[in-house]
Amino acid sequence: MKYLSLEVRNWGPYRGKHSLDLTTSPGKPVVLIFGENGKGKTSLTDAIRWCLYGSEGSERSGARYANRDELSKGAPFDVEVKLRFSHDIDKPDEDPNNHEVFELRRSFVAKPDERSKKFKVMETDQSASLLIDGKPVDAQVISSWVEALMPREMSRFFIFDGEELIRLKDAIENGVEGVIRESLASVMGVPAITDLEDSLRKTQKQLDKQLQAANAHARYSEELTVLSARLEKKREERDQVVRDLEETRKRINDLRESLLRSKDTQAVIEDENRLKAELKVVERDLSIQQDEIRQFLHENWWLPLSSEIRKTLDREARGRSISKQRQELEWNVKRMKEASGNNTCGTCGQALPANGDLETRITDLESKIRDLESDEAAQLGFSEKFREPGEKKILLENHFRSSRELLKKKSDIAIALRRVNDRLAGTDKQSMAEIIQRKEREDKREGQLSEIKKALGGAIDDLEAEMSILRKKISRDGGIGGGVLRHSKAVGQVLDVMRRVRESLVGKVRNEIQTVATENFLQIVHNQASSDQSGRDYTGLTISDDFVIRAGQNRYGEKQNLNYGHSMLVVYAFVAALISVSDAVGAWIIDTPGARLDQVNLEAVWRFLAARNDQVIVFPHSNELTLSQAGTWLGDRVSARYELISVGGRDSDSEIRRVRS
Amino acid sequence: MSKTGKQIAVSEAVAVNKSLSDSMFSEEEVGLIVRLAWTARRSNSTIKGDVYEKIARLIEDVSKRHVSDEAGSVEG
Repeated sequence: MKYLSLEVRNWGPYRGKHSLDLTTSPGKPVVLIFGENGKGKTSLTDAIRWCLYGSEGSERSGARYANRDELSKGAPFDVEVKLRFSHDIDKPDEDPNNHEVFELRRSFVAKPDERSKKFKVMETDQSASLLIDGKPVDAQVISSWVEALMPREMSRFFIFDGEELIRLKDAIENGVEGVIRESLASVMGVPAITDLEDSLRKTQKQLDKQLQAANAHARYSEELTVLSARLEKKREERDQVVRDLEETRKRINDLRESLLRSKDTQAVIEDENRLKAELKVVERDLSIQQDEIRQFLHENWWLPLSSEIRKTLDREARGRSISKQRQELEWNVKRMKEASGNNTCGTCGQALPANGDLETRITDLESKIRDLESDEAAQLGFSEKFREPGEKKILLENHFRSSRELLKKKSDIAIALRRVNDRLAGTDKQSMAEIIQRKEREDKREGQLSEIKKALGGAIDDLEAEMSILRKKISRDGGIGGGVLRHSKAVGQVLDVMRRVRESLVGKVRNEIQTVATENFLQIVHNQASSDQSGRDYTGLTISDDFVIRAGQNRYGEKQNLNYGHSMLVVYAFVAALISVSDAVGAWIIDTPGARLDQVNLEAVWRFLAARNDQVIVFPHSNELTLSQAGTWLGDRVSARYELISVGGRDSDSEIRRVRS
Repeated sequence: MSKTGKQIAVSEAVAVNKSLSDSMFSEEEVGLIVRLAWTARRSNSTIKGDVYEKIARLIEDVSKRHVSDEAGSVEG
């Protein structure tokens, strides 16, 4: 980081716009800005600080620097600071674009507070902008840009106020507090490592996901292999079943042909089968009838009336007997009447009794018939009270009748079967039955095999579907594996290297700072006028883990304590070392460097500053550096000289004048 | 001439990388990664993303080269 220019408007004692060219050339790192007390030296260093960090990040608000002359007019006015600086980028030095130019602008509108009798300023309409190589940067990230180049906490070292030398001395003698230590780490570049680590961790996470996918890929492949084996086995099983099925069907065909060859026998057998089937039906129906009868007999409807029924049945039987007798008598009467003129019966030709006897006997017989009719009517009549049991009895009789009919039918079928057997007597019935039985077995096996084939087909379809899904997954995750593993390993290696660099970086840089600070310190001491030789015995400074700086041993191996003056010089030596190791800062702004130094040490410091390669912008008071001293101590190492003067003797209207050498 | 933090980090990274028995990276590659990391540090988010992308590509290329080297050695 090198400052190029500073422009202020209505800032502090500078009414209107004023600018400073801060560019330095190789071999001329120093810019001198002379100013007496109250002429605006500190205002300018504060302008730089305010421009970098704003009011929130600064110890002094911008409102404090609103120009008093402008304020006295009572109208709002703009206050603005513009800072241009360059920053080296990672390109060869001979590349003209090896640096970026930053233009940072910060402003606000100052309004006198009318309620206050004093000059109280309202800082309104604050704005900030940053251009990098002419391209604007999002306002939200301006502070992070500036922090990356020069952490605010460290700015007090790099925008250095000689008045605060004692505070800085205390800071580095007692160790730096946490915030500064972090800033120090930032200046050393630790965030560059941690940011890269974060980025690489994200890459590694993505690779881990891919590796997980690759693992899944391997699992899918394994599953696919297992499924392939199962599929192969199932296919073999199915092929075997298909072969069995074909053989079975062939046997069935052979058996069918055998059966067809003896068609007559087949017809007889079919008759036999039909009769057997009919017999089965009859036997079933008979069984049903017998069950019905048994059911009737098991019912108790007839039990209380059984005697009456029996009686009725007896009477019916008697009635039927009487009826038969009557019929016989009527036949006799008829026969006698037919033969009334003959001696023989006209029907049967038997000899008949004489006529007188016949008439008597006919009369007698007709009388008997009448008696019998009366008796028959009496015997055959049903009592009303026996009607229901009687009906049931009829049903029962129907069942008996049906049973008798079925028995007869069964008997007829048995006869028919005997006839069929007789017809089959001359055929190889047993052989046919065996063929049929075999065919039935083969038919059954064909059914079973067909079922197995169907089931195997379903299993094969399922396996193929499952394998197809796996193949799709494998195809989707394809092309990963070994390459990802290598890539992940490579990222892991870089992460490992960066972690170890980060862990050791602070220590290494501290050692470097210690070495450079020691060199700086010895150089400053060496620069001292011959009147003070006490520091020449120092051989080194030590910087602890907490960045506490102590004097090392002298050339005789004795521990040295730093005196007050040397302690101040250590601050310069330390900050200069810090700037040397920081690739970001690269410039040093010092306000009144000699404020806390005696003349001997001040001269040593001036000589030291002039010998540096990094840019140094110094704001000396005239009693810290005269023009002749500048010529002696700084020689031709000065790029530009400025003088801060008051216009008309007013403190609120300073000007910046370039002093031509 | 003093070393800057970046230079120290580069030296350190090269030394650490050298100490790895199976490092896939050359001295120049590790140094470049560190220098790029420093570039990313002071860049805006877009450039930063580009720089990290560049580093990621470099690492991936190294890993690919390593695979092809291995394949070559197997074939050889």
